[in-house]
Amino acid sequence: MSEILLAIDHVSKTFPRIGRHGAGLGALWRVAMAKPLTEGFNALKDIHFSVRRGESFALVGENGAGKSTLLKIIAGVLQPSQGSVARTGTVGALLELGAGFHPEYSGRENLKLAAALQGLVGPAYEGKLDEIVSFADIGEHIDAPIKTYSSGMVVRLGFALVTALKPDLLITDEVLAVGDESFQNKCITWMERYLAEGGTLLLVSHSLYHVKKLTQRAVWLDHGAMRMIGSANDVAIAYQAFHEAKQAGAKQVTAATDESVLGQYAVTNLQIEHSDADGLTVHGALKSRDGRRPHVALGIIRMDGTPVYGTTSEIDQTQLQDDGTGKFKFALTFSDWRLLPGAYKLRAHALDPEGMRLYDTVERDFTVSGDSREQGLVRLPHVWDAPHRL
Amino acid sequence: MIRNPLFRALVEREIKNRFLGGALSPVWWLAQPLLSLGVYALVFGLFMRAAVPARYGDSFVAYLAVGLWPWLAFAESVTRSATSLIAQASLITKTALPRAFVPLSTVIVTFALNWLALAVIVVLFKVLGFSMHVGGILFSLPAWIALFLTALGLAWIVSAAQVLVRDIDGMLGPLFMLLSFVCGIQYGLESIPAAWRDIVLANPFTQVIERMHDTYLAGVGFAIVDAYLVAGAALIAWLGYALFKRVAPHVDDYL
Repeated sequence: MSEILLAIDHVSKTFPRIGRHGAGLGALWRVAMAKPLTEGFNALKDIHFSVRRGESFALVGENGAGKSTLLKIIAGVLQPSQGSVARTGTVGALLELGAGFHPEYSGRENLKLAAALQGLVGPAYEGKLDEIVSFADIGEHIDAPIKTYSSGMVVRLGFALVTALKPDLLITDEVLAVGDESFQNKCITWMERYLAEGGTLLLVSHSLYHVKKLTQRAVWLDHGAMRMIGSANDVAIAYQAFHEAKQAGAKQVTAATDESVLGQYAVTNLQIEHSDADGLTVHGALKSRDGRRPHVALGIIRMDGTPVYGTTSEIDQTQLQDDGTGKFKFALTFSDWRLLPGAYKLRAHALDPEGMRLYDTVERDFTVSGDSREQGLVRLPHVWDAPHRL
Repeated sequence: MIRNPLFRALVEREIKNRFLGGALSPVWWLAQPLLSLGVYALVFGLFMRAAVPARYGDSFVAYLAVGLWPWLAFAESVTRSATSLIAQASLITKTALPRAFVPLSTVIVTFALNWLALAVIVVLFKVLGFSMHVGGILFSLPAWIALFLTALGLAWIVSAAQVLVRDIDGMLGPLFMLLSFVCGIQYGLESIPAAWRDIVLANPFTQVIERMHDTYLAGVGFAIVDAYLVAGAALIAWLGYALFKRVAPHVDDYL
C-alpha cells in the first residue's frame, strides 16, 4: 500500500447564520473564547476518507452538496468545525476561477504571489516562468491587469502555474469547464501524464466522463454527508442513476404488490436471481382472477425511463406455467446482452390472455457494473479497420 | 519572517498600492502629512497661538512636525488595518495565506514611510536653520518601536474584530482624534489646566510623543522610560497576536 497523502478524519463544518448587519459582538466573543457554534448551517457532516499516493479521487454531488467547502478545508483555507485533516507532501490547489488573483495587478504580478503561496519562489520560480507563460498561452497579456482578462485566460494562467508546481496532491474544483476545447484537451493531456508519473488528483467535476477517465475512486456527497464511496465507476453509475431517477421524477410508476387491490391480472412476484454484464436471470408469477392464462411483458429501461428493450410471452409465443393455485409462473434468462455499465430497471406488466390489454406494473432495479467508458445503452459489435493497435 | 516570500510579496503590494493608482500617488506619502501639518499650523499656530514649551525651541511648525508624523503613522496604520482582512477577502478565503501577514504588512509599510518622511523633514528643517537635532533620528527609535508595536497589536485586534463587528472602523476616527488632542501634538501640555494635566501625562501616548520631542527637538539621548514604553507595547502586540490567532482562522465564516 502506498502512503496516505490525505487523511480526512470525521470532518464536519457548520457555517454561522449571518444577518445583514454582520455577526455582532456576541459572535466575536464566542470566536475569541473558542466556543463551538451551537446553531447554523451544517455544510459538511462527518466526512471520513483518505487518499493514498497515486490513487486519484473524485468528489461528485449536486450543487450545494458541500464539495467546494470540503476542498477548501482540504486545501487548508477553511477550518473544520469538528474533525481534522492531515496532509503529507505538497498540495497544489485550483479552488476557483481566479482564486487569489487581484484584478488590479498584472498577470505577472499575480503569478508571483500565487506561486509564492504554493511555495514556488526565487530562482526556481524565475526558471519556470517561461514555461508557465507559454503553457497559459496568453502572450503579451501577461503584463496587463487581470481585470482585462477573459475568464478562459484567468483559468489558463491558474492551471499553467499548477503544471509548473507538479504537487504531490493536486486539488481542482470544476475549473476545467471554463477553458475552451483545445485548452481543456491540453489540461486533460497534462493531467493524464501527471497521473501516469505518479501524481495524485482530487477532482470535483460534474462531468462523469472526466471522473471515470481521470480517477479510480470517488465520493458522492449529498447534502453535506457522504452518500457513497467506492470505485469511480460504481459511484459514477449510482450518481447518474440518481439523476436519471430524479429527472424521471413524477412519472415513477409504483409497483402494486398488495394482492387485495389487484385487478383482473396482476404481477404477484418478480425476482432478479442474478444480473451481470453478460445477462440477467429473472423469475416471477402472475395472478389471474378468472383462471384464464395471462401473458407477461418484460422490459429493460434506463433509470430515466428510456426503453432499452421489451418483449412479451405473447410475442415470443410461449406460455406461463399454471401452478394450480391461480398463479402462473415464468422464468427467463437474458444472455450476452451487451448492456453498458449503468443503473437499469426491469419492468414487468401483466397482460390479458390476448396479449392486448395491460393490467399491472412491477419494477425491480439492477445495476450493470463494469469500467467501460463507452457511451450509450448497449455495446454495438464493431470492428476497426486499422492495421495497428495502441 | 522578513525573508518569507509571501510576506515580502504582500509588502511589495502594499507599497505599490501607495505609489500607484492616483496621479498624485507618488508624492502623496509626503504631501498628505504636509497638508495636515499646514492645517494644524494654521489653526493652532497662527489662530490659537499655541505655545511651544521653551526647551523645544521656538518653531511651532517644527514642534508640530515631530509629533505629527509618528502619530499619523500610528493612527493611519491601525485604521487601514481595520479593513485589511475584508479588503483582501478574495486572497485569504481562497488561498492558504498566513493571515497575520495582512495587517502586519500594512503597519510596517505605513510606519516605514512615515519614519522616512520625518527623517527627510528633520534634515530639511536643520538645513533651513530650525533648531532640530539630526541625532533624534537615532534616539527616537525606541519611541518609534513602542508606537509600532502598539499599532501592530491594535491592528491585529481590530482587523479580526472588524470582520465580525463592522462598526469598528467607524469608531476609530473619533477615538484617534480625541487621543491626538490629549497627547501634546498640537500644543504644549502646559496649556492644559492643572486639574487635568496629571491624567493627560499618565497617558502612554503622551509619553511617546514627549520622547519624540525630546529626541528630535531637545537633543536628549536614550532614556529609561524607553524601556518601559517598548515593554508595554510588546505586551499589547503579544495580546493582539493572541487574539488574532484565535479569531483569524474563523473569519471565512463571516467574510
